[in-house]
Amino acid sequence: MSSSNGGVFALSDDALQALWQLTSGGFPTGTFSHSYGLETFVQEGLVHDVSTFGDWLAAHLTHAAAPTDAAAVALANRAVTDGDWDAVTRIDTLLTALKLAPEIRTASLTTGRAALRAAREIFPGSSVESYAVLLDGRHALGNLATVFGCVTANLKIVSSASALAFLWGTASSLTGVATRLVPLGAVAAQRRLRELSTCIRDAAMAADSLGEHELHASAVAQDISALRHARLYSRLCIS
Amino acid sequence: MMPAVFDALGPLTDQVGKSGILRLSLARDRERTVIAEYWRIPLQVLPPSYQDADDEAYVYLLNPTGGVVQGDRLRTDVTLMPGARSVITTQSASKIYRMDESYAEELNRYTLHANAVLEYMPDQTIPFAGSRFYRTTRVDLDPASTLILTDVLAAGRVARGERFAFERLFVEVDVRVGAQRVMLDRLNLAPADGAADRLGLWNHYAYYGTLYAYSRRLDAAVVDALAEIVERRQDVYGSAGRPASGCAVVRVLARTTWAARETIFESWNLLRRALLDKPAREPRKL
Repeated sequence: MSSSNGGVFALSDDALQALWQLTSGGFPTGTFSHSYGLETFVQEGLVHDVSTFGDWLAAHLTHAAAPTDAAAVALANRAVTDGDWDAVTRIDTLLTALKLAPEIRTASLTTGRAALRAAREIFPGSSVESYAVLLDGRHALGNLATVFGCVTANLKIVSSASALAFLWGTASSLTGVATRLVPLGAVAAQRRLRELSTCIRDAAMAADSLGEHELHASAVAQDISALRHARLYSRLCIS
Repeated sequence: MMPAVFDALGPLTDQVGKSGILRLSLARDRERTVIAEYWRIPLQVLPPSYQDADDEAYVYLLNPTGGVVQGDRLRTDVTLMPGARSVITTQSASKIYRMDESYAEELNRYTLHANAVLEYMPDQTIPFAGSRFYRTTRVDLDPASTLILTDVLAAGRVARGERFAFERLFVEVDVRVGAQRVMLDRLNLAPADGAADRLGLWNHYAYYGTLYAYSRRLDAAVVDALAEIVERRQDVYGSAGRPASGCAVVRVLARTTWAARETIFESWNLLRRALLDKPAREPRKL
């Protein structure tokens, strides 16, 4: 674990730039049009300001995104590094099975396939190509987290840093979505995101320690809101 | 394989708690589903009753010690042979008592052969203050079988004002069709790691119910109807969805055990009419 000042990993300049690019809003995955149930909470009045959004985001990161997606990023990253492609496809299947709300299941596959198409052009490499072959042969499913883990493994970025970057990217994207949906002041929303840095770091490190048998999703009310999203009267987001 | 958080508490041994086993095979014998074979210690099963006046057997599983204590290892294995149909339920709530050092585990495995029907609806699980509990329910389905499985959890002994006072609860439902994992639900709650009684987790509700269903006959229209009846209720926060072809999931948060149970019952009733062409009835308590 890290000290209060330092981190747990040292990254090359190139790795850092790759992670910034992968998690930037400009990377063509389409995650900015997904709210993962947040839009339902906003319409139902449960999330209505920076404070309630911060509570929602902390719960989402710690109990939904980290123990499913970020953990799968770390597992896929290590499996690719070890050349264990059976494990990669197993993790993909496991992750899809864990996503019980249809919109969330589909969101992960749509954004994942978009990310893979982009990564083949932007971060070309043998691992990314191997995964694309598995996807073409329908052995892999194309979840965003699995793709992300493959790309970072290809760039020789360790699993913990990959999980942290993924989770921060999720938090950043959702902060942008909330800024538009609630709506929130941009500075106040970004300040809340910054205040969650320790929460994000701790959740990512916990995710990096989980085995396949330990992945879980415990944000029950958020899962229900993702189910209810399909029947909202008017929607700005896809999930 | 156990999650590391339980392994850290040390292995479960014969010195503490009880080792309970129930193995049951249900088969179609002319006009009825019967218990073909069973083996148990000290878990019990009552002789089946036929509450729908047809071939479907209502089977009650009992834990004669009345609750789950530290060190318990409970294992139930049920096989439904081709064409066997059964409602399997319990006689009372599963009370998970306080544990000072160790934990308790419950491993359930259900296997359904072609044209078998399982409606597994145990009473609610109540994790008492200080309890640590691991439960996994694995269901292996033939593509031509039918499953309706429900699970209701309480946050604790809610009537006494005890909510989220348990130490750890890990509950897994793993549904496979053929060899393919189609629905995997894993809830892992340790209130000491952060409040569960908050926005996004249990939203300040005290009861949580889930229903999982599978059948080739389960189409999008049935799932839409399920979502509609659940979302229409003002006393619960819930909905339904279709994670994969032939699959349905209903999730509901409620303030009272009654509201959670009634929502699950209404969902079961709708599914039973659609998939089995008969209405649901509350299994008689014996």
